[in-house]
Amino acid sequence: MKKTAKRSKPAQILRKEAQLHLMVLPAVLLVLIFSYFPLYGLKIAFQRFLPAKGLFGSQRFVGLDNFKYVLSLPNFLPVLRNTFIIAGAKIVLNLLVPVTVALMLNEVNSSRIKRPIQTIIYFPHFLSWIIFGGILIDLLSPSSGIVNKIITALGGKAVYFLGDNRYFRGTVILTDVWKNFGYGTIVYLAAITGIDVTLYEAAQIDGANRWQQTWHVTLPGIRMTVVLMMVLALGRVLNAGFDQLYNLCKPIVYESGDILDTFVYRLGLENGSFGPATAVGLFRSVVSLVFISTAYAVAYKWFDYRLF
Amino acid sequence: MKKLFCILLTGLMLLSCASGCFAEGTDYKAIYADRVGYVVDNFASWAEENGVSDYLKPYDAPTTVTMVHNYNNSCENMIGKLGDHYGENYSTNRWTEIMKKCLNIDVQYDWWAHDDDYNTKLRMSMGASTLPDVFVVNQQSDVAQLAEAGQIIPLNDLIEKCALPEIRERWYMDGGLTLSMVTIDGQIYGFPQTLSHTDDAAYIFIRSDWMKELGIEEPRTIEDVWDIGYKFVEAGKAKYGVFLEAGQPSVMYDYLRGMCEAYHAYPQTWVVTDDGKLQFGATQDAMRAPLKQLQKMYADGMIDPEFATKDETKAFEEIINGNIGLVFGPHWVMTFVMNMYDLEPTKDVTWYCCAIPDSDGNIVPEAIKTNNRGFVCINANCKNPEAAFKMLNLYHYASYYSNDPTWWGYEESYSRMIAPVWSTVKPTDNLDTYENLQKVFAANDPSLLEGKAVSYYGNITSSDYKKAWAWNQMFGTADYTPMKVLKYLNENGLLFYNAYVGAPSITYQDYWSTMDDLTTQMLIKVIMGADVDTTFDEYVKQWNAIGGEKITEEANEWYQQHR
Repeated sequence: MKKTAKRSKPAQILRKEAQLHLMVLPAVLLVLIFSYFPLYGLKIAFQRFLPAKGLFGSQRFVGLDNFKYVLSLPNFLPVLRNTFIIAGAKIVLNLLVPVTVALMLNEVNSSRIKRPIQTIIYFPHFLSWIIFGGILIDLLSPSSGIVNKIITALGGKAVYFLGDNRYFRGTVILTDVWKNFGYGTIVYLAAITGIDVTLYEAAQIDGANRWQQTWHVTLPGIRMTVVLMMVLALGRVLNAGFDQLYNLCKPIVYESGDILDTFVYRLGLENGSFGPATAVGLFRSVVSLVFISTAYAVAYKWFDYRLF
Repeated sequence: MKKLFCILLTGLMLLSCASGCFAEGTDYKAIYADRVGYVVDNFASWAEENGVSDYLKPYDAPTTVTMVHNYNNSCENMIGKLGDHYGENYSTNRWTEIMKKCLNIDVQYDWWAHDDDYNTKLRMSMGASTLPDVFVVNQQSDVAQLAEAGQIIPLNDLIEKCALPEIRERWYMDGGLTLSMVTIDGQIYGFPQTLSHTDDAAYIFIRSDWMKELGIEEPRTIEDVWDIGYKFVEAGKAKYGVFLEAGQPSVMYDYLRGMCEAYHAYPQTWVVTDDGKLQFGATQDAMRAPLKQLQKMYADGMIDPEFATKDETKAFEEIINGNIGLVFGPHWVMTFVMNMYDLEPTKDVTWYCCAIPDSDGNIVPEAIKTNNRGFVCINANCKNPEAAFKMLNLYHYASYYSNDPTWWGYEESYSRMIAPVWSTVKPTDNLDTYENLQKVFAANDPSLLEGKAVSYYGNITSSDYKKAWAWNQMFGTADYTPMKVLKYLNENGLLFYNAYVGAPSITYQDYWSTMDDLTTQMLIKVIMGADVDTTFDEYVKQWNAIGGEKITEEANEWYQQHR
């Protein structure tokens, strides 16, 4: 008894687990260097930053001027609105669609059908947006794209999906779901496989049909995975997808498709205004922190789920 | 028959092999030794004869100058060949050798970067305080920042004392506009690597094979030009009446500018109004007329309905595929168009080229702007700031007064681009080259070729048909070439400079890109059907509100000092 008590002293634990700590050290160092050290650069958000003077040089402190400047830009509010709408819709649909598809695929018995479908829907996930975007521009072209060929063949009028402010956001959201739902589906399918088969047998004995089994066994079974994916997704609520919008959003649809990331890119890298760009980045991080904390609290309270 | 063909082919192959061998048989070592030797032996006496010895005086003790340098794809192709021939590379080559042998300067490169990465890499060096002694800065705002941070020195005195009078004269040929781009509070913070100022001038290109086929006369007014676009479509020759592209806003103006100029509107230029004030062209009322015309043409299906999302390459496919026969654009449009011959090598496509007329049939004045490949800046910690000027002077000597200027500057087209500091051409370089080429073709005497005309002559007389075609269309003896038009414009005083090129102010740095976005969006929206007057009024109001008013004020202040 006495021996075990002695062993649990911190120093001894450390000695005993030294190898493990050593193994985790590189990862911790990487996080320190690439995630914590750059926090120092956040001070740029409060400076009139001249790259010529350097990060450690004597930059002029301007308080909240950069934030005021960004707010004074006429396109900041539309950009914020676009970001929320696009990111919000993506979060919701990227949750609903994969879960639904996973449930449906789960009902398919023949693996000769199931596996090819899985592979086909997973495939676009591996294409970068620069390639997928090029494919989309061709597919959705009003004059020569196959989608509009079908629409006109059915008697409709060709739609300028990527050049019309009425359709642009919808197009962006749906194509993103198209590209990514295969990945989510695989995650949920894996979760479904992990459900204890005896639960289904018990439900069958109780006289539950397929629908009731899905509702009462499968869905509660993957609940934790859904919550986890949701919490992680909410942290990205202001991340509407730079890669996608950078490739698809042309000036004609800035009104409905310009998001914070593309805005910061033009501001910071094309225009060299590092201060305001950092200010927007900081703003985005703060909002994301609020969202992810809320999501975490909700997950903990309602689902008794702890991520950390 | 087949056999004969085979024999012929084999013969040809052998021949080309043999010629290849002969080519390799050229004694490159001797050429190199001769050209370098000539410069080393003669620069001092040339300087003495012309009374400029002080400008080319070698250092007594070996002097090291650290530099960074940029290159592009053309350079990369070239350096491979120069390496094979002479063993040259980016950091040791003909230029560094004469800098050492003539001036006792050791050029030491910290790094070379591709143009795509150069600006970013230079900003990193700025941030890390690892800037070399001499370096090129491409962005006007970076020069301003470096000056504000005290990292570079003003060059006023050095320009007076150290730059060859001939070079200085060329820098001021544009009335000092180029230098004023980097002049802050009267201090000049860089000297330009000059380029021809007429590169962006717009012309009208029309498919003349279609004109002939349809019996269309040469256009006199801008209405005639639009009419030709409509006729091409009606006759089933073309799919669209005129070329337009707006998916890449940065290049959109290359094609839009000419159309606006026909109505005396200059969307990207600061113009002087009747009361002597500066105004930004895009916000002038003159813009309404071209916008109305383009809107009408868009509604009539004369403009590609996807023009707003297509990038330049994709948009050009329509011309290459023979779907468009009317283009407003700079002379280099022809180098894009030459790809038509990959598709239909047998087709005899010809292009008519003319200056832009207004609706009365008068040729409109053409806006040009200063043009240079970056500014050379000198580090505040540099111990020998005059070294950069000495090197430029020697570059100038080798490029114009050595026994083989072409070898120095235009071997493989680009050998000048690896010189530590380079390019002292006149702002009218394109035009001079054109006139030189005309003289050469008239006399049929290639020995008269000067400067870059040598490589252009090579392109025009190239055995590669499409290359020869494109270059002949631009600089050759064809009846309708953009350079011929340019010559006309120049002789008739129809070229004018963008009136405001001052160093960017804080407001300009902060708001210009947002204002630029605003302009682009307004233009596209109106062309696609938004009401011209209300949209334009709303745009002008917003443009002024977010900084336009302030910038216009600053521009006018600057203009008062520099007119």
